[in-house]
Amino acid sequence: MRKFGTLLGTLLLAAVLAAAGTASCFAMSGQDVLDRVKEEYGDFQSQVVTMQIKTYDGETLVSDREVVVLSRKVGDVNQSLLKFTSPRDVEGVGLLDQGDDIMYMYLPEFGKARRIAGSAKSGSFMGTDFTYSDMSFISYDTSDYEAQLLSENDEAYELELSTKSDKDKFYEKVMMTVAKNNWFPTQIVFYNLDGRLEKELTAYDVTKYGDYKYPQRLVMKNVLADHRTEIILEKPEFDRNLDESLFTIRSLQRTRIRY
Amino acid sequence: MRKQLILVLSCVLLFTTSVGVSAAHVSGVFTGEFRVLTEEDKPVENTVAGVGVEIDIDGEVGDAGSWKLGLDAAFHQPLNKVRENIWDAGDTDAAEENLTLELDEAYLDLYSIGGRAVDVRLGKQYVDVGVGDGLTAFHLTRPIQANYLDEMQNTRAVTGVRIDAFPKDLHIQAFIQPRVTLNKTGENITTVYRKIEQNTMGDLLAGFGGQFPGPGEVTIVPQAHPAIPPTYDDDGWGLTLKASKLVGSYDLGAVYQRGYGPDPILYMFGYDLQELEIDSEKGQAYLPLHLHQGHLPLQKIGLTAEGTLRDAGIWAELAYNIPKAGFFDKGLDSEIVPKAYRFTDDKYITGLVGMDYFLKNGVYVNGQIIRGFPQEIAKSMVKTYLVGNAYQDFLNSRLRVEGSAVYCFDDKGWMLLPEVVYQLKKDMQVFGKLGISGGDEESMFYHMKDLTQALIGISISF
Repeated sequence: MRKFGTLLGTLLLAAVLAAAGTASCFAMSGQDVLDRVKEEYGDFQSQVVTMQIKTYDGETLVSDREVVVLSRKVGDVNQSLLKFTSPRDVEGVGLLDQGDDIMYMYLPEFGKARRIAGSAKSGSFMGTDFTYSDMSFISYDTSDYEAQLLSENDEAYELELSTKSDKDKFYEKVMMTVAKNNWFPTQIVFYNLDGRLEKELTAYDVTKYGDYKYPQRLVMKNVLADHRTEIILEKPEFDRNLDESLFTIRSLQRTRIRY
Repeated sequence: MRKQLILVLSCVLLFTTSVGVSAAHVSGVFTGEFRVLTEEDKPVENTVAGVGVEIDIDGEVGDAGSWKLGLDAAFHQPLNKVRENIWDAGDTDAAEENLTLELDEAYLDLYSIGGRAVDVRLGKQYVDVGVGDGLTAFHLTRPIQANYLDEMQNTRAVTGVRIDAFPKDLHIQAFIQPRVTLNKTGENITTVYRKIEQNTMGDLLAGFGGQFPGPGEVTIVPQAHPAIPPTYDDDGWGLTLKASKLVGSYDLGAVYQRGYGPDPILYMFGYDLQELEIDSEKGQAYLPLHLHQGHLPLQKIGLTAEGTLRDAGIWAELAYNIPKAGFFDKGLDSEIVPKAYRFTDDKYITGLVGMDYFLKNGVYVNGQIIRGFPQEIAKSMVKTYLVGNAYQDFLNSRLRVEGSAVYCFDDKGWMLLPEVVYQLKKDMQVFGKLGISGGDEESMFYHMKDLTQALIGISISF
């Protein structure tokens, strides 16, 4: 046992040294790149955006929904309020995330908000290829992840992201490709817990809106299932003064969000 | 009903044109279905074809609020009657019997009344202050609307004024209900209820007949006096109050509710010997037994709690039920009345506890233990149930396989409701459902066996 312990210690030390050696080969660390991405694209304090979400099974359009999303940062906590505006089967459904695992769903047919379980985060977000936790990537919120720089070439950095907490581990690993010319994460690839490539998130038509750059279209492709979700982002607004009263049950249960 | 519909429509139209609302938004769903009640003599021939449309119209009232109007129309007809009705097209009365027109929701929302954190909703609306999933111990604002087994959890909108106030971190809800909305059950379910009632009456009459021993026979003839729909004139308006607050990571609430049991209940029976009729030819005597039904005024005081336990959602309700003192005739609490039907105004406790969870493989599971279903409004009726629900999506989330089950610990009755829904394409779904019930012969679900059904249908949203 003692021998094994010594061996393990040696291996760990070697691993640490190897990691340090690897890091020193690059001008920037993985975390530096991730921070730069966030600085360039996701450093806003609040955001309002309308999303048109289309899901395709093969080439068949299966659903086409519209949702208004408000989000803001309060210290380390991200809060969001989401309301479906069409079609009829989901119209009025709302989701409020107050942070600290306090989430509510509003269902118009009951006229009340219900708490939802943290385990819902691992499930599909309204039948799309995004899980609830994947939705954070849309806002470049990678605060739950640590990054390691795997490689770089003249055009891009290749990062491996891993969750800081095992509780939030829904993937074996997440790979992010960041373009060097504009620090834009051109592609994010998700490997499932079996280690198989499951999904690819690609952003298109990056546009400048005031101080921030933001894509006009995102496509999440499930390569295992020949299924994809396309999100068209309309008129994003940043750093609006979104009052805390918006991120409450009162706001959630209203037919339309006013901000 | 149509008068009411026209009145509400007129009010909404008058309001929307006078206040200058923004453009109305129209959406809806069309459904078509075939339903086979498998326990019928000729189930295939008696297959019921149905078409329905639900239309929602909503709009904004500037920054002041919003409004919504929902209309449901449905037409159901057994297939074997479709042909004869087509040939006999002049028989509009027959067609009308199968046509239902229902004003679903019709309300006006007004936000930030007087610049305060107070919102008001006026009109017909869904109100649920419970935290249970689909069921609640605080059901006086949730009357049922059902005609088939799979519709037993469908509820009706209720008319009143809802006020939501948000002083500091507190959420106070008040719903004032000037008009009573009762359960609305179709012919199929009413027939089952009648059957259960007849069984009960049989036991009651047998017990009652024993009160007249002797050489001559006295036949007891039940004479039912239907319940008069209640009004709030005597007992004050219906009222629901709830105060809730996030404490730690749990939402805790206190509830007071006042209203009526949404189903009629036997509250008095009796006879008048002067009504004894003697048939001397047959040597037989007949005595009418008057059975009076009414709606029980009921109050509830209770607590709700919901939150998460690790990654699971959990919730609980506890209600202390106070039936109106003296509502039930003392005679009902007697040996001749079957035990379950010895209705009294004794206070009693109902409640539920539940949990849900998404498994790693995508299966959603939900379980609740419930003490007291909504129709169980007197102490002797209250039973304990286990209600479960699970679903999983397949075929790239286009196919959902779902199952619900109910089991009664007291009378061993059970019900299963499996269903599949397939998303054919955008806004178009096809679905299939089964509804099966059974259990001990005394159980409610055993009597619902006649409602065992298979259903296929299509829905198109617009």
